[in-house]
Amino acid sequence: MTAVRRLLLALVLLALSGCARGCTSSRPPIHVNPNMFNQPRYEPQAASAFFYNGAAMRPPVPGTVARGELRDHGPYWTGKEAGGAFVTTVPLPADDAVRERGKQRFEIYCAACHDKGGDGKGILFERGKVPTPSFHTDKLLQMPDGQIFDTITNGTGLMPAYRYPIPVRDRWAIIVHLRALQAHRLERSGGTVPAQVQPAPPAPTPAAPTPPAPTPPQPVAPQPATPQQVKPQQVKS
Amino acid sequence: MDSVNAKGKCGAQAAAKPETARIDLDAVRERLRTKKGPEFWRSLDELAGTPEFEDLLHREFPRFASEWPDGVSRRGFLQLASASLALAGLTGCTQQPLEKIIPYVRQPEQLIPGKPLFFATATTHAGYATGVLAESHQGRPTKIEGNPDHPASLGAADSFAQAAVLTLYDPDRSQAILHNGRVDTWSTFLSGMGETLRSLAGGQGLRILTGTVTSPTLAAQVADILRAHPQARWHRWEPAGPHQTRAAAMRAFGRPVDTRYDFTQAKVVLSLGADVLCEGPAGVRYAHDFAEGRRVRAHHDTMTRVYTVESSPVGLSALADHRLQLPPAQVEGFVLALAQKLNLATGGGAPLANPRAQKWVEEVYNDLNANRGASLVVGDEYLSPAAQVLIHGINQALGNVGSTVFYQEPVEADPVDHVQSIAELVRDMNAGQVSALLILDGVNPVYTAPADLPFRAAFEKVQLRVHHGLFHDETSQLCQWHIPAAHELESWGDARAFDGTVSIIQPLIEPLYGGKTAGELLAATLGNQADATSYDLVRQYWTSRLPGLTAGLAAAAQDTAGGGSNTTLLGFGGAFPGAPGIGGKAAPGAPPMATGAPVDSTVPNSAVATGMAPAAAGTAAPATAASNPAFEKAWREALHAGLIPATAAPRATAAFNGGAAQQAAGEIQAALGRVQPGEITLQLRPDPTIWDGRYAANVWLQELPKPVSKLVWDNALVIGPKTAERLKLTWHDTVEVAVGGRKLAKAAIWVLPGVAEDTALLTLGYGRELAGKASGLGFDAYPLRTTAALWGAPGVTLRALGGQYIVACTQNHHAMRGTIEHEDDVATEQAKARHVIRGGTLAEFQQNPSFIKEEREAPAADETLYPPHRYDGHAWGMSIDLNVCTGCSACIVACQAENNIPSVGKDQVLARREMHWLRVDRYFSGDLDEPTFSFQPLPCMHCENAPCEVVCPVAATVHSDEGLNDMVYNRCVGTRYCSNNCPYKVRRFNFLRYSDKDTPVLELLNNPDVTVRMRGVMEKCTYCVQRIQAARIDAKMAERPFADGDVRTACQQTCPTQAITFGDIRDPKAEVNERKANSRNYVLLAELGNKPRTSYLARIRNPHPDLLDKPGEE
Repeated sequence: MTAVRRLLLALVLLALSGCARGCTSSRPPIHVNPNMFNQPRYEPQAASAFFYNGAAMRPPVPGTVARGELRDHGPYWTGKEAGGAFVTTVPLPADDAVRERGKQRFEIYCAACHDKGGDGKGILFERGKVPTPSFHTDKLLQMPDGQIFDTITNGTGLMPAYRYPIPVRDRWAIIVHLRALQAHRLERSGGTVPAQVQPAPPAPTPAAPTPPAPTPPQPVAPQPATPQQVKPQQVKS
Repeated sequence: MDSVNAKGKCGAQAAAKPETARIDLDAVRERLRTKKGPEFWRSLDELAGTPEFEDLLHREFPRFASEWPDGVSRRGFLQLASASLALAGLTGCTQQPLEKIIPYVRQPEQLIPGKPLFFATATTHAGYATGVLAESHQGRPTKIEGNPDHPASLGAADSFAQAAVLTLYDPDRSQAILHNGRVDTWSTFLSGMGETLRSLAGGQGLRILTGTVTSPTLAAQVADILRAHPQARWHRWEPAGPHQTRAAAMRAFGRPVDTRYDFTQAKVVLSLGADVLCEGPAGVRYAHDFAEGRRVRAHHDTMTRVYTVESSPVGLSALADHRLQLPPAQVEGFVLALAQKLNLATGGGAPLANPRAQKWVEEVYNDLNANRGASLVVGDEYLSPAAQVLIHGINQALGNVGSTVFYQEPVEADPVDHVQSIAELVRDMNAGQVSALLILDGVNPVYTAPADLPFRAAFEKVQLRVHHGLFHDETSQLCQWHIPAAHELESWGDARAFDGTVSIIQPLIEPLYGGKTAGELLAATLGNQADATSYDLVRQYWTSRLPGLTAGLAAAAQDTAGGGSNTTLLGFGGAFPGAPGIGGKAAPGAPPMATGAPVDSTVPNSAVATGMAPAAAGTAAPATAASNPAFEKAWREALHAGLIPATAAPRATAAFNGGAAQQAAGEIQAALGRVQPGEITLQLRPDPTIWDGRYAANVWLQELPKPVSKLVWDNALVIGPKTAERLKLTWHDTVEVAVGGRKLAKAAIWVLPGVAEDTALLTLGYGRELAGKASGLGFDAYPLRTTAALWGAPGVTLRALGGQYIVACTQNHHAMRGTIEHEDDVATEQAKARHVIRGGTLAEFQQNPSFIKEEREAPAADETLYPPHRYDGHAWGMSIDLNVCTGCSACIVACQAENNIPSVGKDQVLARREMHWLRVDRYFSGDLDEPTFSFQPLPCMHCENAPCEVVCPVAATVHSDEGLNDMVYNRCVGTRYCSNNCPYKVRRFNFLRYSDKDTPVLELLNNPDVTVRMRGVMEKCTYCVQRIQAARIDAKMAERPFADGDVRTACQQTCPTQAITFGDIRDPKAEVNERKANSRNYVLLAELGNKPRTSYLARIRNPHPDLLDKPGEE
C-alpha cells in the first residue's frame, strides 16, 4: 500500500516539476498525453516531409479550372474590358443589399486606414501616420470603377493586395458603397455628382455573373456565353 | 493506414477462429421446411444454429478479442505494464515536436486554406470514363465524388472511382525509371529507344500493346505513329473487356456496334446472368435508371418487374422479383427456348428438360410479350456469342429496339477483337517478328494473357521490352525498361464514357514521382516530341476540334445519318477510316478480324478536322493560347463542366441477321448436348472488387466485402450447397481444379446458397506473384482461362486435397437478431415480426399500404429513465430504401475515403476487427438451395435513446443538440462498454494501431477535416458531422438558411440508386421526411425503444402471380 502511495507521490511530483504550466521556456511544451495530438494528416499550411519544398499545400496545376471558377465574364473578374480598358460601371445591380454588404465589408477591411467616411483618416493614419488618400478628391472621383477594383485586387503603393480576403463580389460591393459615400459627400456640399459616381444602372449586360458556387458538389448551372477575356495561365508542367 | 501487410500487422492467431464446422444441411432444410428458423438468414451457420454463430450473435466481440495478438494474454500484458510503470510517467510526457507553418509563396486567389476546391475530371475503369468531381484540399486530392452533369455518373460513383485516390497515394507505386532493374533516367531511355527505333525500318518489328483505348488524343497519336511507321502494329488486350459481346454484335449485325439499354422505359426486365447494375462502364447510370422504375413512393405506384435466370448471384439478383437458378448451359438453353417461342429458331428439341424452367419460359414469354416495346432482355458479356445473338433477336422480335434497347457506334477507338489481337502478338513474338514491344498503361499480359497463349515464353524472344505502368508487376519484371506511369489524378488526358461523351481529365496535383502518361511516352519515343507534356498533347488534339464542335452543335443535332459532320469530327467511324477493325467494314476479301493492321496511310487522320473546324490548322500545328479565343472559351467550359457537350456516340442502325439466329440456335443445342449430367461447369468472372487484378494493390478494394459472397482479401471457388454435399466439401477445404487439361493446383472452397447445382465460380485477379502487399493472396484463375473459353468451361474435376485454406468472410460479423430461439410457432412468429429485413409484394402493399407495420411488435413507449432530448435547431436523420439497394458497396469505400477509416488486413478481419463504419449486410430468404437475397446498408442508427451513451463512464459518446451520437475520441479510454451495449453492432474499436502514421505519402490521403484515430479508441459512423459543419459555415457565410440537400453524407452522395437520403427531420419539406412518412418506413429492433434516427423503407417485390407456385418464394 505504501509502495503505491509513494509511486503516486512520485508521479504527482513529476507532473508538477515537468509539466507545470506558467513557466516560460524556449522549448516546445510538454505533453502529458500526446496520443492524437499530432495527426497524420495535413492541416492548412502544414509542413510535409514528402515534398521537396517541404510544404503540404500544393499549388493547383496550371491550366486547371475548379468548379465555380469558370470566370467566363472577364470584366466581372478583372475589372477590365476586352481591350484592357477599365470598366466604368460596377457589373452588379447596385441595390440596397449589395450596398449594405459593401458597407459592412468596407468597415471591416478598409476603414482601418481609409476611415468610415473615406477621408483617409483611419486609425492607422492617426497612430502610424500611414499616408492614405481621401476618396473625396478629384482623382478618386474620376477614377473608373474598374481601376478601383484593380487596386483592391492587386494593391498599390503601401496598400497590399486584398484579393485573398475579399471575394470578387464583395470587392464590387465595396465599390458600390464607396461611390455612395462620394455621392453623399458631394450632395451635402452642393457639388454636382459626376457620372462616375452615379449609382450604376441596375443589371448591366450580362446580368450578374454567377459568383463561385458555395457548395461545389452541387451542379453549377452552365454560365451564359459571353466573350472571354481572361488570359489563361501559361502552362509548364 | 494502408501499408497494412496482407497478412496483417500481427498474427492474431488466438482470435482467428473462422467457422469451419461441418454443417448438417439436411437438418437445415428440415428447419426451413417446418419454418422453425428465421425468415431471413445471414448464412448457413445461422440456420444451423452452429455454436460459432450463436457465439457471434451474443457477443459484441469474438472470444479472445482482447488477446494480445502475439499470444501475450491480458494478464501477461498487465504484468509487463506494471513492471514498466515507473517509466510510464516519464515516457508519457513528451515534448511536443516543433511545427512549422509553410504558407503559399503566391497564394492562388480562389483557394482559401482549409476549404476544399472541387475539380471536374474523370476516372477511367477498363478504358471507359466516369465523370467525377475530385475534392482538393490545398492541392491534394482526397476524395472522389460523382459529377452530377456527367451522363455516366449523375452525381454517383462506383467503388473503383472512389478508390482511385488510394491508388494515387499507394506507397507501392513504382517511383523511378528502371533499366534492367536499376534506376535510370528519362534521357537515357529516350536516347536508347531512339537508337532502337532508327534501326527498325518503317517500324518493322515495332509493336504497341494497350488495353481498351477510348481517349481520342491517344488514339490519334497511335494513328499518327502507325502512319509514320507503316510496318508497326497496335495490339489490344483488355482481360475483362467485352469480348463475347463484340463477337455477338459482329454475328448479329455484321459490325461492332455497342448495345445500350434504357431501363427507364422498361416495364419487364429479364436478366440472364448479367451484372449490369454493378459492373461495366455504364453500371452507375443503369443502376440509377433502373432504380427509377423500382421506387415505390405511394401505393398506386407501379414497378418494373425483374426476372433473373442465372447460375450465380450478382447485384441484380437481390432486386429480382423472380429468380431461377440454372447451370450455365441451361441458362443458354433458356435463351434458346425463349427464342423458339418467338420463332427465331425452328427445329431442334425442347432445350430444357426441367419442368420448372419450362413453366418459366412460358410465363416469362407471356409477360414479355404482353409488354412489347417496354420489355428488356439483358444478357451481357458472360453468355456465349450464340446466346447473345439470340438475345439481340429476341429484343428485336419483342419490338424493344429503339425503346429499351438501342445500338450506338462503338465508343472504343478502333474496336478490334482483343483476343485475336493478343493471339497475333504472341504468334508474331514466337516467330521472332517482334523486335520492340511497348506495353502501355499497366497492361499485364504476363499475368492476364489466356492460358493457351504462351505469352511469357514468347515475350522473352522480343529484344526490347518496355513496360509503362503504375506498379511493378509480373510483366515489368520481364522488361528491360520500366517507366512509371502518371496517375489520372496527376496528369492531363481525355476519355470517353459508355455513351461516348468525352471528358477532359484534369490533374489535381503534379506527378508525385515524375510519372509519364502513355501519350507522353509515345510522343517522346515515336512522335518526335520529346518535351511534349500531356497538357500539350490534349490541347493540341482539341485545338482544331473544340471550337468547330461547339459551333457545329446545331448542325450536328440535325444530323441523323450517323457518320455525318459531328460523327466525323469526333472520330466515330472516322478516325480510323481505313482500319479494318472487326471484319464488318473491311473490304470483302480482307482477312476477317485482321487486328492490329496498319492504318491505311492514304487516309488522312484528320478527315476529322477538315470537315467542320473553320480554323483547322491540322493536328500538328501547336496552338498558342492567345491565338484562338473561341478555343480557349470552349476549353475552359469543357474543363469546368467535366465533359465536352454533344460528343455522345450517335445511334447506329443495325440490321439483325436472321440467319445468324438459326446458326446460334444450332450451336446452343450442340453445347447442351455435350454437357454430361453431373458435370461441373466453371464460371470465370472479373472480381467485383479488384476486377481483373489491376486493383490488387488497393487495400480499400481488397478489404471491401464482395457484394454477394462477403469474402475479403481472397477469392475462392464458390459452389452451391447441393454440389458441396455431393462432393463432400465444405468451407475452406482445398481442392485441385482441372478443366480441359489445365490445372489450378489449389483453391479454397466457399459454399454459397444461390449458386446453381454443378456450377463453380472463380473470380479473376488473385494469386498474383508480384503485386506488392497483395502478392500470394487467393488463387490465380488465369491458368484456367483460354481464348476459346474466356468465361468458363464445362467438364471440371475437383480433387479434394484434404487441407484447409482459411478464407476471410464478413457475413457473420456483427450479426443481429430480434430473438434467438424458435422452439414453437409463437416464437417463430415473433421472430418474424422483429426481423430487421421487412418486405412484401406490391399487391399486398397496394391493398394495404401499412401492412409492413402490422403484426409487428409495437415500438416501446418512451420508457426511459432519462429526460427526453429537446431539439430547437436541426435534427438529423437518414432513410435507406431497401427496394433499390443493389449491394454494390460503393458507399463503404466512399465512407472509408471520407472518414479516414483504416484497413486492417486479412488476419484482423478473421479476428472480426474490420473497421468499416458502414456495412452492407446480406440476407438470404426462402429455400436453402435457391434463396432470394436482400441487402441492408447499416450505418450508425443515431438512436434517440442511445444505449451506448448511458454506459460510457467518461462521457466519450454523447448526444449532440442536433441528435447525433457524437464520439469524443480524446475522452475515450477504450472500455468498449458502448459497443457491448449497441444492439446494432455498429461500433468499431481500434484494437491495434491500424492507422499508418509512418508513411508520409499516406498523410496526403487523409481528410484533414476528420480525426485520425489511434489505438484503444472507439469509433463509428458520425453522419459525416464534418460535412454538416462545413455546410453550416457555408450557409452562414452566404447569409442564407440551411436548405435541404446542403448536407449530403459520403454514402448518400455516391449511391448510384439514391437509396440513402439524409437531412433535417425537423424540416417538413426535407426529402428525408417525405421518405420517413412513407408507410413502408420502419426502424430496426423497434421493440427495444431506442428510437433510431436511421430508418428503412421495406422492400417490395413485384412477383408475377402465376409464378408464385413455389413454397419459399415470396
